[in-house]
Amino acid sequence: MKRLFLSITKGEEIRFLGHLDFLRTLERAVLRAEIPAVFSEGFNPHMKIALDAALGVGVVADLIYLELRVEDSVSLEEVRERLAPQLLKGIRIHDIREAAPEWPKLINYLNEDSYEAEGPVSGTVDEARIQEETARFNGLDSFVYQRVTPKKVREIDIMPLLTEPVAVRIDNGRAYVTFSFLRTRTGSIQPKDIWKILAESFHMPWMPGEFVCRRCGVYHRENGVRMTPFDEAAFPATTQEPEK
Amino acid sequence: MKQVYIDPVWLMHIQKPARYIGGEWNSVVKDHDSVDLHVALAFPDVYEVAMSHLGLKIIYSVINKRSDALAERVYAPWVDMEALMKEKQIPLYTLESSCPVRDFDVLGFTLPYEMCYTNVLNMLHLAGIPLRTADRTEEDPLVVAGGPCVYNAEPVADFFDLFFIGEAEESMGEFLETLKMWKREGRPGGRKEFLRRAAHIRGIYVPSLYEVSYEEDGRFRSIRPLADEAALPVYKRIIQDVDHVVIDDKPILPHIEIVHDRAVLEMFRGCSRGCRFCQAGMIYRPVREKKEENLQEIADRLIRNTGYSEISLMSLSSADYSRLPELVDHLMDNFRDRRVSVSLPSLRVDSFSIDIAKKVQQVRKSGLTLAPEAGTQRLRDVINKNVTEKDIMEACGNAFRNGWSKVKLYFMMGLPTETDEDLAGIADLANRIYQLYHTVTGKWGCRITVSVASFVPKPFTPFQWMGQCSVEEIERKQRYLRGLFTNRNIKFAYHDAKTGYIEAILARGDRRLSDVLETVWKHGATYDSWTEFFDFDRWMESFRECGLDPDFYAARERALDEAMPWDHIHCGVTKDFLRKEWRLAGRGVTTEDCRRHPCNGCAVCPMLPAVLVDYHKENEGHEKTVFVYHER
Ligand code: SF4
Repeated sequence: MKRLFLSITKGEEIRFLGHLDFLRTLERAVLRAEIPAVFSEGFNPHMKIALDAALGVGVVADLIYLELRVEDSVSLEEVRERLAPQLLKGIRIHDIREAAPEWPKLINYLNEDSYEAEGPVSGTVDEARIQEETARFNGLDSFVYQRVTPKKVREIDIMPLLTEPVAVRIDNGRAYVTFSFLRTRTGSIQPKDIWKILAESFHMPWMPGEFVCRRCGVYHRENGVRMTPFDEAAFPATTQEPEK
Repeated sequence: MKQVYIDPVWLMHIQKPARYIGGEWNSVVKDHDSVDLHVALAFPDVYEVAMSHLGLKIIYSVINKRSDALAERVYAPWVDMEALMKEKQIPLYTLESSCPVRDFDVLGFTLPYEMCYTNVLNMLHLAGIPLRTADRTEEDPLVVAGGPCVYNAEPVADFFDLFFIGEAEESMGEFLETLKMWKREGRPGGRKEFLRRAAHIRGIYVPSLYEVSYEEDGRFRSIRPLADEAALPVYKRIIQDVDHVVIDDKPILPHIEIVHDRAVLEMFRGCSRGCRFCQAGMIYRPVREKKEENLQEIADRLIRNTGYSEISLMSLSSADYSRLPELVDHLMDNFRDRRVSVSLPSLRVDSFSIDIAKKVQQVRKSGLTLAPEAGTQRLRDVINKNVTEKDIMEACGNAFRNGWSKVKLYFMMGLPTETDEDLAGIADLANRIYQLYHTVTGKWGCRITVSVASFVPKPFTPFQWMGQCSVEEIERKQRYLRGLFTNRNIKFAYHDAKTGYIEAILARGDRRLSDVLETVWKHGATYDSWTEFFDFDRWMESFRECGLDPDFYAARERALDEAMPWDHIHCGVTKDFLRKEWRLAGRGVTTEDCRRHPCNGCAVCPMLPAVLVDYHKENEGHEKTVFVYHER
């Protein structure tokens, strides 16, 4: 059995596929491609396939990592060649590599997401003010945000989670906000929170909830250094890269 | 080609926005400039229901296989999307190209059930197309329809330019050729002239070419052609050679989970069991089976083209397929390593069916579904459901011995001659099945669901003359029956009597109902087949406004010689045969299935003409003798 990491795109065409729908689309593509995928045992076998995160409905991703287990008989090139023509418009394969059995699951390895949120501006746009407010936000040591879910209200200090300064750009009647934050086990912030905070507490010219999102990066961040599962140094010396 | 603009931000507030974006695997996107004919295929219900409909998929393939035409899909937007479309002034558009429906040459609806009619009007409105044929201009697409409801399309006749009666794989081609010629000639005589040309095609019904008259007491009197081209009667079309008909072997994979998310293998068309309540059993005759080798090959293609992990063997009574055991064995062999399971959606009530079900459900036993339809043998004979108590018990016994412990039983209430004794028979039967589980397995706790629908008399059935049981009486029957279920392991469910009442009106209605439909839609009716949106009072109010008596359509028993609003449509089965069956029903005399027994004279075979195709050994090596039953 081989363990593969693939980096793929979830593009504009399939922006509105939710996580499970996107995963099912990939599964069916693997089946049509007649790639000998590995299945779980039991009454109701499932294909061993997983994504690095459950992207929401409406979120596109420049890169999303896919883990797939296949029989030894198939090579990486064959997987790529057979899978590519079976993919829906909006899904592209970038890279593919074999992973060692002891490497962590992607969902555990990756801990930082970068996003760009985009939405229409409303009201008057004052560029200077926007940049001032952005700087004010970035300068804060702490910003406690009340996250309201149907079940409970939670208070989170979002500043320690943000890894890079937030940037705001206005272009042609649309606002573009980029930000990066750490994933935490206890459910961290979400793009919609940042969008809302900036609108409500930092006078940004847009409406809470009126945006769509692009995940522009996902990394393993350690001591301020970003790595992807495809970097040579990603899985250091304690583990041996398997033979190709 | 114009395209609608939709900011993705807007869709963030819409439920399941993937319903509205297109781009699904196997959907066909053609360049609009590269073809002569543009057809938008519409289904008047939400994506998840629409995407599960086989007929629409077939027509989509038929059109898209042509190099001179394209077909794109459009489904009813859910209420939230409808509100958004109105707010942002987005006209109804197709999924493939986001092109406004109004810019197509043809807008073709599937009419699957009567309760979708208000959605049709709503979609026309959202498309910016005048509701009535009479108000349409040369700029508007031709609005056409097919599907089971078109056999009596009179209540919606004023909204459609033409109907395809019967199986439309071939007539659609002839229609498109006619349309292409007319467009090439520079559209001589406008759409009126085109409609006359189209009326020449067998199976095409152009309602505006006929005039309808009524008796003074309101009964339907007659329908008269107004042009030489208008046939009387209009015969349905069928495909005789079902092995060579276009099939949809590249079905579109839905973006989201839908009602039937699996590959569908159609084994045969038609059913001649002759259940007297069943419209499908009359209008889709005769039985025409596909060859088993052919089905294997199609199944293989379906799975390769989709990646589906389930294939459903579909037909009106799937277990009647003459080569079912071989087919199931072959499919299971072929698919074993590919983890594709085989499923049978409709089980016959007998032990044989359980044997097959056992084969296909080797591991997990989901619930077993059987449809005895009536609680006593007497009533089952009336409706010609040729199933005995012994069949039912043997089927359940076999199922329990093989690990099933959940049974779902389907019945109807409001059937002709029905008494409370027949209803009590439903509860008795359920209790006996509950006991049987104990006898067979030694355990208690078999879970049984009894689901009772209220009966809707349909045109082209032997029960088309009968007056429907009133809403109050159905509700009384429901209360009575509920009182008889005391065992907590037996769940009793029933359908809303009021929906069945409206359905009965529309099913056997005439052209005057178009006013009611328009009125009720104007009062806000859409999605009437969804209980959360169905508003009975709104319907009643609309009947009052239009001065029509709903009971006249639903509750009145019609005279055997009364003219029917659908008499000009011929499904091949004669009125004489239906009358005979209606009389036999009254006497509780059954009629055998002609599939492997002698012809009963329903007339479809000699009349169309058509040949019954069944590969059972009974039928080997000789031609079936068929006849037309005539009343003296
Ligand atoms: S004409 Fe005879 S053989 Fe043909 S479907 Fe009718 S009853 Fe059956």
